[in-house]
Amino acid sequence: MDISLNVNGSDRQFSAEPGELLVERLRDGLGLTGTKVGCDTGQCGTCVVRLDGRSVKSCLVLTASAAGSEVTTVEGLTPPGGELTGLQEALRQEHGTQCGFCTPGMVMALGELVDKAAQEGTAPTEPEIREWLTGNLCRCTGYHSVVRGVQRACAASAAGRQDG
Amino acid sequence: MILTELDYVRPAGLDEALALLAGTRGARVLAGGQSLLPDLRSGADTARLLIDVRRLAELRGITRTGTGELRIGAATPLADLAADPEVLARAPELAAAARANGDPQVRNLGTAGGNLLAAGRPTDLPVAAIAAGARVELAGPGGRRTATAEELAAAGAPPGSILTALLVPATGPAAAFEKTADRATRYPVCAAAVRITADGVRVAVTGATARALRLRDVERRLAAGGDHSTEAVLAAFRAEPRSLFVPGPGTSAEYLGHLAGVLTARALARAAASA
Amino acid sequence: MTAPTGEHRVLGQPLDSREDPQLLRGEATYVADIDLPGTAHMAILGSTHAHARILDIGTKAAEAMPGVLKVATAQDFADVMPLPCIWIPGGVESHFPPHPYGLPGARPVLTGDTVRHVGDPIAVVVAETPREAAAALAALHVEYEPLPVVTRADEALAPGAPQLHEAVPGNLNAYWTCGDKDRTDAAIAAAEVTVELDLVNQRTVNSPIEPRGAVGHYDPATGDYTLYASTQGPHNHRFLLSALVLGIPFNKLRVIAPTVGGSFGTKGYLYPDMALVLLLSKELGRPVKWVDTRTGLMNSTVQGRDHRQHVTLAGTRDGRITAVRCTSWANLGAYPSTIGPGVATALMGRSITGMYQIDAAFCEVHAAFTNTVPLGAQRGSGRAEAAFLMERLVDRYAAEIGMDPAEVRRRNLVPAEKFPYANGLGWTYDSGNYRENFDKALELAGYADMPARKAEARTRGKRLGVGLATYVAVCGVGPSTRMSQEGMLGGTWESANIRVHPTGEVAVTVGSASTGQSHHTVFAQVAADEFGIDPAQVRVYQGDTLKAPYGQGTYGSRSYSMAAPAVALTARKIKAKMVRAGAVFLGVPEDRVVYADGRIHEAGNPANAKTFAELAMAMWYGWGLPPQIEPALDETTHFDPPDFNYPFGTHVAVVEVDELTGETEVVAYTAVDDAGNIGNPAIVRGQIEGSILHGLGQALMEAAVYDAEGRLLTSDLTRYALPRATDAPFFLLDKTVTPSPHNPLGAKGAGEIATVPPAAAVTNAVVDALSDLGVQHIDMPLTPEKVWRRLRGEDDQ
Repeated sequence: MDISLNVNGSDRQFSAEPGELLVERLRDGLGLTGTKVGCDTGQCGTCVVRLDGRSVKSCLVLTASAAGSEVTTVEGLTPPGGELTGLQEALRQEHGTQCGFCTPGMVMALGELVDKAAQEGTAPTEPEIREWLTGNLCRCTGYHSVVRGVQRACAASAAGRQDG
Repeated sequence: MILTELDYVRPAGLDEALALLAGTRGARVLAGGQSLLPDLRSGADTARLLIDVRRLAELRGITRTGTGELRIGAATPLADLAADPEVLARAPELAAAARANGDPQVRNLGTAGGNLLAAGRPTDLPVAAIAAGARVELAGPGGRRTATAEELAAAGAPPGSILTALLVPATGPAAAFEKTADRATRYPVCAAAVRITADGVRVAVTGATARALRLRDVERRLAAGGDHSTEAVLAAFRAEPRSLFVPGPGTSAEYLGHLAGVLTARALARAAASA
Repeated sequence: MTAPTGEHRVLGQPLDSREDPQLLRGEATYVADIDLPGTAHMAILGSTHAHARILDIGTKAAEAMPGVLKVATAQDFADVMPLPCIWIPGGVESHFPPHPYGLPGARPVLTGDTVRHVGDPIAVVVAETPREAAAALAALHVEYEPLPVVTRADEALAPGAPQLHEAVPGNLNAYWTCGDKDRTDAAIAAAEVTVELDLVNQRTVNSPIEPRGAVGHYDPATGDYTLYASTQGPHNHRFLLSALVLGIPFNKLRVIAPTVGGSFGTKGYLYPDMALVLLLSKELGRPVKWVDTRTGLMNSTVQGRDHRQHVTLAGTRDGRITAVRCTSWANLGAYPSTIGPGVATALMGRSITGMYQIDAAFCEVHAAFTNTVPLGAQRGSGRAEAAFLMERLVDRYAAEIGMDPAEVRRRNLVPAEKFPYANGLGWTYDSGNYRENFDKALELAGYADMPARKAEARTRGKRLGVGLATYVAVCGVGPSTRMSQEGMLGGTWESANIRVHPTGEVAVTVGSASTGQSHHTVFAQVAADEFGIDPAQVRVYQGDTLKAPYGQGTYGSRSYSMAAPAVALTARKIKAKMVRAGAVFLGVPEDRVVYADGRIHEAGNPANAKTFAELAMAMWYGWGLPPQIEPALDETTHFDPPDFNYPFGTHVAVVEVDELTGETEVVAYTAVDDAGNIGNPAIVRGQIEGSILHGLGQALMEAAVYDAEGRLLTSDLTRYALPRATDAPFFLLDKTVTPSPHNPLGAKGAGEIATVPPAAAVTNAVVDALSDLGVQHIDMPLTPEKVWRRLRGEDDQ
């Protein structure tokens, strides 16, 4: 079927099988391999992208069902080699990634939390950050450095609001 | 990867969706897809046609009805349900159950209706809907009708029908939801929801049982004793037949019956405290 | 050679990991992201039976499916040799041929006659797309004749048990011992007090978040094979595949490890898919790609732990341990994996005395084949199993004699003045100050306050328990000769090359390959520190056998104590050459040339100097050098240490057990680890935090469960629980620093060491919480119902 989808700000038209998963389109069809596949059941969270602003698991969305929506993948956050987003920079400073395989999914999932906090002018508590991370599995870090990264990102964002 | 051949259609309205559902063998309603897609991937579900109702305006939104109920559109994402101020104030067990589901990404796509109908999966919403005394609105070839959440949990949606809304009595805050999550799936090993009303308490459990169930005998025992202490609640559960509780991986019926009692006692304590 | 000095000291600093930006942007290339032109896609059919004869594999329907290029079964690869096991318990008698490669029972690339575990690969399909390959795979029809199944090591060794391999009578891979049996038996017989436990150290699955994958590319123009694979050891895989499996010239195979998404032991092994993609690429004339699924990983990638043990400790009434004995039944799975038998024997057995000075110790291991996925390393492998049994025994002993478990441990720690210390089981601990480490951990954890905290918890319906676990983790594999005595078929040294470019930039190339340990950052720090230059001038290369000097890879926490010393020694060689050549450029005798802070100068005359970049350019030109000094700055070091290194530590777990539900929550976790001199504290902190949570996973939730038919019931992440962010308790971390004398950096292993004690610490804590009920042991994972039954006074079922 013919599908039109806005991916990272560009309108894309293509033909897809009705049973195609969004993650298959992103990785295999559009070459956006920053989105990963780590399980077969929707548990690992390495495939998380933003769909009309909300973080979703792209292995649990049909491409057809996403048609007409705006999809943002990790590649859409910053140009290749470009400046990191506030969240990415904070995660870098806290060494919130080791092997990196779960990282793009975490960045996309946590991006929604950090954006929400910025919009509401609040900062999530540590339990809230940890709960928000329950859709992302990581075997390397033990999550602590990731949590510190989110806290740093929210603090930087709050400081930015005050300066502004 | 979904290996079965299937078609996908996004109807313009509810009537078109109902017509497609009636006229196509192997047709299934797709909303958030957070249960259906894993089943399609594993081959557990072999739907031939997916009718995507996620964007249907008739199925979205949370409103207060003239009769004082909250009407929750079936395609409302769980995340919206969990964060809605009216739901939080008037049906806190429902908000808590919505929030207890899966993880943020599942809640962003997963819908109220899908959660109520996820056959074979011990999702969180049905037990809260039962305790709340909620009804559901079903649209079918013969028109619209309502059923209780309890009836829906027992029998599912009739063939050819589409769940359009959940109708929840907005009675106030004297309600609570408690859950022990399975570490792998995040589904409840056991979840309990209670609501304290003028007529007494309503108690429902899931996970530990074959499906979400209202436990009227437990309610009666609690009413008779007039005692909601942990010991009294545990005793009320011990009097249930053991066969009510279905063993899972690493959990016996005996333990599940006990756990259901503990969670119910905790829910009752919290509901009483917030009343 | 002088140690580095001056303002450029960057080693030991928490420099930001330079890998991170690329990872955070999703730009790193993992094997699944490789897309060579013309790639065909392979899918592997695993057996659905744990033990069966294959009567027939019907391939016709699959062959006729759209896009299918090839369907292959075992008979297509009759000339290919089985996958070798290179760790033979008990040692290797000669390092000249013939070698016992292909240990009896070695696995073929595809199994033809008898399958021995669910997931045993029996056929492959190659098609134009992954979907077509998967669809055709489903069309293969296999007829099995089921055979009796055995999944436990002790049962596999019993008379009448199902036999897995004709060449392995009784399913026994090895009966292996260490220590002094007679002395230990006598000490136990004469002891004032003995305690015994029967333990199950359950099987677990490493579960890196990236499943394995492989891309094979055969170039018919040159006859060269290239393998891209998620591997911990590209050089090892090159050697084993070319010389021992495929029978192709070593010169014709190149192995490239792209970015690897975690491994924890599993990706250092040789797997059938690696050979298959190369063979099929040659046959089809196209690159062939295979990427595993999670369920596939669960049924094919090596699993960990899996010992059943009877253990005994003897001691005096006043708390002195006099003997320890362990009899273990180790489950190797269906085939000997690349180094699995060594993990199950020496790594565990020689480690059981841990931090304690014990006069008599003995360990025997019965390593058996069963109808389960082959066993291999798992983060902390062998040493975690050893710490578990020892630390459980110490607590049991403390309870028996009515002494505080901390005091029992203190009385038995190897004293600081005893190093180097031979533990009587084959390890000689290099250095340590165990008492300092132990006391620091208890102080940090607030051990003295625990009685008050226990009383407070009871008012909330919680039973608070505190559990101690100490450990010594042999690391830095290793001294090659010593490893040969353990039965390792191959050198285990490590190497590094440094090239100083004409511009003064530096290229460091290491044989080791990262699976998430920030090699690019740390090795640059080591080189920059030695040279006294800005780390930004240094670039690190790894992971490609064409470019990298030989090395064994990243496993056993070895890269910082094996590859980093090779980097440091190579930098020192280059500095020495700079000094020799500098004598010419400065016009002074060599003994008047000083190297400091990235430049050379004449002693006492700092104005007569050349910068690092000036020297680099001068050596690139090579003008005016005497015949004994070659131009260019390009050196390699192969580092083979005199012995292993032995990091150690003390962990304290505090748990709260819910009196009503039996749920266990780890409410605080303190770890004081000693990894010698640390190169980058931020990176080591990350390794420690991740390791602890991995260990807590085994204690609380992880278990690979097989049913009686040998089917893995926990075959995906809806059934095999991994710890999530909400499961990670509050960590209090600190360190002590006892440098190792066995390498020039004073480094010890760090990557996995903190996985060693958590299972013991948490189990000790839960048993402590229930001790007034007479509970002496609970098997992991400590699930709520198990604990609840103990709360009610029931025994294990």
